[in-house]
Amino acid sequence: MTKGTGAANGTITSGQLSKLLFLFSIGSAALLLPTAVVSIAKQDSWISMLLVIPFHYAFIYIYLLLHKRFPKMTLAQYAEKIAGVWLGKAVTLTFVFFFALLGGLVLNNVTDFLSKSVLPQTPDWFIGGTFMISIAYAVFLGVETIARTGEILFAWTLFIIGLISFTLINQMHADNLLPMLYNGWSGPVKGIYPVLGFPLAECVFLTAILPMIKDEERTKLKRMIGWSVLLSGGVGVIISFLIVSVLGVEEAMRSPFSVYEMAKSINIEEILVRVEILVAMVWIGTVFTKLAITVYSLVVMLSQMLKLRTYRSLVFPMCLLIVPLSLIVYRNSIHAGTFALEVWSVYAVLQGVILPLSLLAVARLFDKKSAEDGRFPEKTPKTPVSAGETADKQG
Amino acid sequence: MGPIIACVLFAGAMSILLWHQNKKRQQIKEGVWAIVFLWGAIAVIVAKLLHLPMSPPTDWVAAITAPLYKPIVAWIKGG
Repeated sequence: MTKGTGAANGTITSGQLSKLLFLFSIGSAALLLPTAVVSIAKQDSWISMLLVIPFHYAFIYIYLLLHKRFPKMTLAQYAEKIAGVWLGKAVTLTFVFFFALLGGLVLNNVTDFLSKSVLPQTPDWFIGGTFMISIAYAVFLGVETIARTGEILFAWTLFIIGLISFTLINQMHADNLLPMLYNGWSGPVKGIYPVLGFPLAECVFLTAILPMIKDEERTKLKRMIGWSVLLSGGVGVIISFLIVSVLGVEEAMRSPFSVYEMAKSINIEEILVRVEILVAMVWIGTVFTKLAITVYSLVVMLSQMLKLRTYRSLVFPMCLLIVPLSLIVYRNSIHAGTFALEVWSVYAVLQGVILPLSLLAVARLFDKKSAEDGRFPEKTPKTPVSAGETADKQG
Repeated sequence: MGPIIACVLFAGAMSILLWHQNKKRQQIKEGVWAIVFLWGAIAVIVAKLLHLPMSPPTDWVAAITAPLYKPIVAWIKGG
C-alpha cells in the first residue's frame, strides 16, 4: 500500500502479525526487564521467564476469543456493541489513555538509554522528537508498512540475539546460577509479577491489529501466535540465563541496562570486541516497532471512538503529544524504577486483561457477535453533487 | 518567551495546513479533531516550557491502583 491509497490501512498476514508480536514482546523489555526480574527472583530469574509463557498465551487467547466474535472490528468498536455506546466510548477512552501513556513511557526509555549510553550531550526532547518523526511516518503509512518493516527487523533481531548468545558462551559462569530454588518456588513465582504487565498485558494492542488480518490467513492465526509466544518466551529465558551466568546477580541488579552491559564483556581472542552497539541497534529497532504499534493502536482507537473516516489526521497531533508526555512521565530514574517495578503491572493487567475479559464475559452472556466490517473505508467517499448545484453549473 | 511564541506560531501554521489538507479531502470532522488535539499537545509543551506544576500521569495511575499494587508489592518484598 502506498500513502495515496485512501483512508484504509492495509491488510497483513498471520506471519507478519506473529513477527510484530515477537518484536513488541521483546521491544523495550529485552533491555530493561531482566534487571527487574533479577531483583526479585535473583539467580532463578530464568525460571520466572519460563513460567510466564503460559500466561502470555492465556492473555492473547482472550483477544483471540473476542476476535472470533467480532472478526472485523477493533476493541473500540465492539466495546460499543457489547457495553452500549456511551459506556463503550468510556472503555475506549481508558484504552486511549493507556496507549498514550505507554507511548510516553516507551519513548522515555529510548531517550533515557540514548542520552545515558550513546548521546550524553544531546537534549532528551531532541532525541525523542527525531525518533517520533520516523514513528509518525510509519504510522501514517499504515499497519502494512509497519509489518513489512517488522519482517526485516525480525531476521536481524534473531541473528544478533543468536550471535551474542553464542559469543558469550566463554564468559558464562555456572556458579552464578547456583543455588537453584534456594527459597523454593516463591522467588520465581514472585518474579513473574513485573513481566505480567511489561510486556504481557501490553499485548492488548492485538485488539486493534487483528481485524487487519487477511481473510484467508485467519485459519493460521492461532498457530502463528503460538510460535511467536514460544519464541519470545524462549528469547526471554535465554537472555535472563545469560545475564545471571555472565554478570552475576549483584551486577545484573545494579545495571539499568544489563543486556547492554553484558554485551560489553564479549571478547573472542581480542578479535571480536565492543559489539554492544549491535545490542543498541537491535534494541532501537524493536523499540521502533513497539512504539509504532502503540501509536497506531492509539490513533485507530481514538478515531474509531470519534467515528472518523480515517485515523491519519490524528497521527501528527498524537505524536506531538507523546514527545512532551515522555518528558514528564517520570520525575527521576528512581521514580521510573519504582513505577515500572511496582505499579505498571497492576495497571496494565487491569487495562489489558481484566477489561477485555469483562467484555468477553458480557459478550458471551448476552451472546453478542457481529461480522460487520468496521475497518476504515478504502477510499474517502466524495460528497455527491446535488441536482441543484449541477443545474447551477450548467446554467 | 521566544520558544513559546515559536510554539504558538507553529501550532497556528500546522492548524491552517491540517485544515486545508482535510478540507480538500472533505474530512471536516477529522480536520477539526486534529486541530483540537494539536492545540492540546501544544498546551502541554508550553506548560512544560513555562515550568508549570504538572503532576506526572504516572502519579494518577499510582493513586488509582494503590489499593491493588501495594499489598502485592508488600507480599513480594516480604519474603
